[in-house]
Amino acid sequence: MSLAVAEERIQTAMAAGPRLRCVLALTRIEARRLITHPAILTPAALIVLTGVRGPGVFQFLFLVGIGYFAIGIGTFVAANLCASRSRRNGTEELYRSLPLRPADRTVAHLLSVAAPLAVALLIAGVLAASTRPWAGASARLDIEPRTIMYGLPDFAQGPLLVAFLGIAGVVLARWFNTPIAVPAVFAGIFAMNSLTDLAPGALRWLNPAADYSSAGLVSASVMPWHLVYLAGLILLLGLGGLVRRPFARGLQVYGALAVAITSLGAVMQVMAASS
Amino acid sequence: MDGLMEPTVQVMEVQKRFHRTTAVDGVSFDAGAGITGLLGPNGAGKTTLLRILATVLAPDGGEVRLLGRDPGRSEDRIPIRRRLGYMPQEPGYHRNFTAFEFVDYVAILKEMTERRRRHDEVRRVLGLVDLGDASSTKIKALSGGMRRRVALAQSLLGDPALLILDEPTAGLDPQQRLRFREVISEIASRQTVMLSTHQTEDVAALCQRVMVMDQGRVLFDGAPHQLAETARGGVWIADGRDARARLSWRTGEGRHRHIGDAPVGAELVEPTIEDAYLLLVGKRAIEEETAA
Repeated sequence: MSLAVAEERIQTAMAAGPRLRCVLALTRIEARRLITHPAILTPAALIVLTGVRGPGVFQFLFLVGIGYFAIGIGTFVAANLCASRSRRNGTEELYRSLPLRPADRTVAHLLSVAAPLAVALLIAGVLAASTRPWAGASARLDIEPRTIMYGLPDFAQGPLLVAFLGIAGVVLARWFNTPIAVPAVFAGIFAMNSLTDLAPGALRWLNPAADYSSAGLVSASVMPWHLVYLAGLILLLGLGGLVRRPFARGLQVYGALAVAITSLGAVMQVMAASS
Repeated sequence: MDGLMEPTVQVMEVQKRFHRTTAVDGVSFDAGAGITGLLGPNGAGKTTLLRILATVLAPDGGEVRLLGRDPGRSEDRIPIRRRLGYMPQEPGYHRNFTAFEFVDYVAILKEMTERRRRHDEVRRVLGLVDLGDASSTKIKALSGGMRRRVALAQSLLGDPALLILDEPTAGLDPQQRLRFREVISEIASRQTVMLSTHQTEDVAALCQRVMVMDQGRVLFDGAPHQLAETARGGVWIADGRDARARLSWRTGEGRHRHIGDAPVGAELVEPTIEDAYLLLVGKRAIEEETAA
């Protein structure tokens, strides 16, 4: 068979789409598998069951962050299992013979975290609508009589933490292939929390999960910068999943941008907390 | 002559080593449309050679050209992979995916982005391997033979110009093997198929060409009937075991079939591909076959 004929037949049989469209098609599949993963559905079901006792309990769970943490940990585990699926199931050899590169699959896994992020944002939207922080009222809870939220930006921290943990799960799967990796990361989170608790007040905001109760409220203007810091950390973490040799130009720009955003957020939040 | 006449597969003095073991040792051949079968005992180097052809492994020495391109060059590798179908010896499956979902997933990795056409193609290849009715069954609920057919189905996606199948009939029952032969022979009328197998019946039934490998080298390269011919005069039957035979076994009729240097006056019989294969690769192969 001549190569020209073969080429023509293949092109007729199946139009090869550009990489971006493949990545997006894969992202849709991975997002659906991620959001329906038992590791996410189980904490979500528990939250719903707890919330049946009344909207106050549901509100409490998310305003103090327990709800987001539960979904975030579920997202971390599910994202890790989805991203390591091909290695665990022994399909790597087959996938290496296919045109879409492993890096593109990693991008799809990273982007799939948008699904649990969207769910968390939806929850945050419902919470914000019910507590109405833009009306000037801070969110207070009868069950825990302290101010927890001061403004609309505060509601974005929980969803961003969910995304942070999801991305961490993917990056971990990219680099480590050992069952102790997940517990090691939990230990790391615990260690980071303990270390930042020892730090002076303003520096406690370097903990991605810092809030007004753990780091202390000095100024409500801290949170917007903390969100910038958190977004930068998510981008930086994503870089950990994408980095490969040779270090592509686009990745260098992305990395520089991530470092800049993280640094800006870190410095500005500490300054805001110190002022 | 221009590139249009170039064979689909060109392998020149290819070598591959794993530490101190030489898996492929200076293998050379060309292959075009039709089915080329690789026969050989375990460890002969068949799987390593097929992995090199599937662009999964890079050779340590020699040269490989696939579909007129060099898989060693990163800019050539993707175009090759677009026109390649590969069924590994142990393909691996996502057990929680349905057969449809798994093949659809592979289709995306094959850059088939248009959803409707992709789904049509997935249904087509699942139909080819008679899995149309089981397409919505989770892979963990499928039998071993059905899983092999899922793996075969994904390799057929996009009508690849080069199809590489590593022991595709392992675990298939006779009816499924017959269906497999039907599908592959249809494909091979237009495309290049390289398949490795332990089954000499598959080679006899399917392949226009057979290469016998052992210890990383090609011991024979030719048509299946030519392979059988190499044993002519070296296969005989007798009522009892003949100590002069290199290999012998008791047949269903109670007589003994011998392979080796036939004694004068022996009752010679028509050799089969299996006889010739066993003569070529010797006792080690028969031990492997018995163990398998």
